[in-house]
Amino acid sequence: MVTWLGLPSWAGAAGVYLILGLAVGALLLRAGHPRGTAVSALAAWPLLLGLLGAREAPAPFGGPKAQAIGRAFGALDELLIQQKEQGVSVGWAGELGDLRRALEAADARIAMVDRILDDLRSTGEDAAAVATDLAALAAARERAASELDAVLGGVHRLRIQVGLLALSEIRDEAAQAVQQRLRELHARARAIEEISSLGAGPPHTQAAAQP
Amino acid sequence: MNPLGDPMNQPSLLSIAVDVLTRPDRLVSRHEHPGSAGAVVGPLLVLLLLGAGLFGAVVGSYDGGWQLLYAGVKLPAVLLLAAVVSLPALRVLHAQEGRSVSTWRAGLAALVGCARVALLSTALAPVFWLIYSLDPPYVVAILMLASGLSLVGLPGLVTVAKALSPGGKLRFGPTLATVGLLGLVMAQSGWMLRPFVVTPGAELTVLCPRSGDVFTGLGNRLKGRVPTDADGQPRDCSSRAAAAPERGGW
Repeated sequence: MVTWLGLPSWAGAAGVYLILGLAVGALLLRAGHPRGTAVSALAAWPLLLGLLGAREAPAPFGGPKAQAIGRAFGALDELLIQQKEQGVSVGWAGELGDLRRALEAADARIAMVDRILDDLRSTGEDAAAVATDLAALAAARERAASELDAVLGGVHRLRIQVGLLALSEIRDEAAQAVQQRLRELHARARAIEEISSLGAGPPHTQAAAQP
Repeated sequence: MNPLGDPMNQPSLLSIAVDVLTRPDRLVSRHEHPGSAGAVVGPLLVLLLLGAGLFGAVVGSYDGGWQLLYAGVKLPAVLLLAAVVSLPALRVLHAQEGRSVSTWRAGLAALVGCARVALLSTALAPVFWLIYSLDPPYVVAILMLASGLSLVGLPGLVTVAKALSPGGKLRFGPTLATVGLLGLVMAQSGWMLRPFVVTPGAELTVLCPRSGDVFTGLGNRLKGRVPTDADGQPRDCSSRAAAAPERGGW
């Protein structure tokens, strides 16, 4: 039997494969992928190499709207796949992914603010001194959360618009309208970042969220 | 917690198994963004290991003993090895008009295809268990394994081809090339990692020494030829049993 470092060659090869799997798994964990994915790398790391360095790596923390975001985009993704199967091509799937990531990032920031608020409220030290800042932070958090809700409402309306796309006679025009709506939503999602960082009022009013 | 890892959004193992069997290309499309990988990678790997492992153990039951474990580990390895080796070539085959298949989508397509083969082979396991329990002749057992794997392998290979095609549309050339290439690599991987069905009376080994290609080897085996080296010793590990009493109580 062929040996390598005193081991049968197959055991040596399996050892090298496992070591590489460990390395890939560690890198996946570092990139924010779940533990299950990292453990899977031990067995099938060559198939998971595409996840390394992918800019679509999930946000490390989900926030209070995580489920709502998942549901809204899950339903939209399902609809887009069905439309694709029926020959209705959509060239803006990438933009949709960008919008989802922007909302997930905003949601993660809201979660971070929640943790800060909880922490400050629970310690109760020198409450009077931080009361004003605390109120400002809470107000900014509420504005960001309501803006996030409004954008999610826009995503639900986008789903209806995409559904109508399949029935539309002037499909190109309808597709452009959907794309325009998507860009508006993306701009609003980016604006949530400004709300969080500056504590300023939302640049878009609730009325602007209406279709 | 990540929304994709949230219990509300995490698909169950059962729902992924249903998707793998009924609409595999949609499963690939739904998770083609690396951000949603966590929801499917683990379950797909579990399905692959359990399904192919169970089928391997059933095939190993022809000889019994340690072969149950060896074959149970080796069959999932055959599927993964073939996917890993063929993937770069398959990506090139399916690149079209400057649109290449992303590395992650290709990896996911391979995982879904392998999981499909594994699940379908699980469905065959009771039939094999029954027939092997009737103690068929060795040649019949080998033929059954080859034809069974071809039967369950084809839908999995077509799944990979479809998932790699831009727009999910099957194109004749790339599909044929995918099925051919992946099928050949899978067959040769199986030959390299054998034995699965141990020749009666043969010494049980984890792996056999390298010996030619799968078609020559299978052909020799079916004709009852024993490949020997210059000293007249059998070259193939399980051919040592050529002199052993033939099985086949049916």
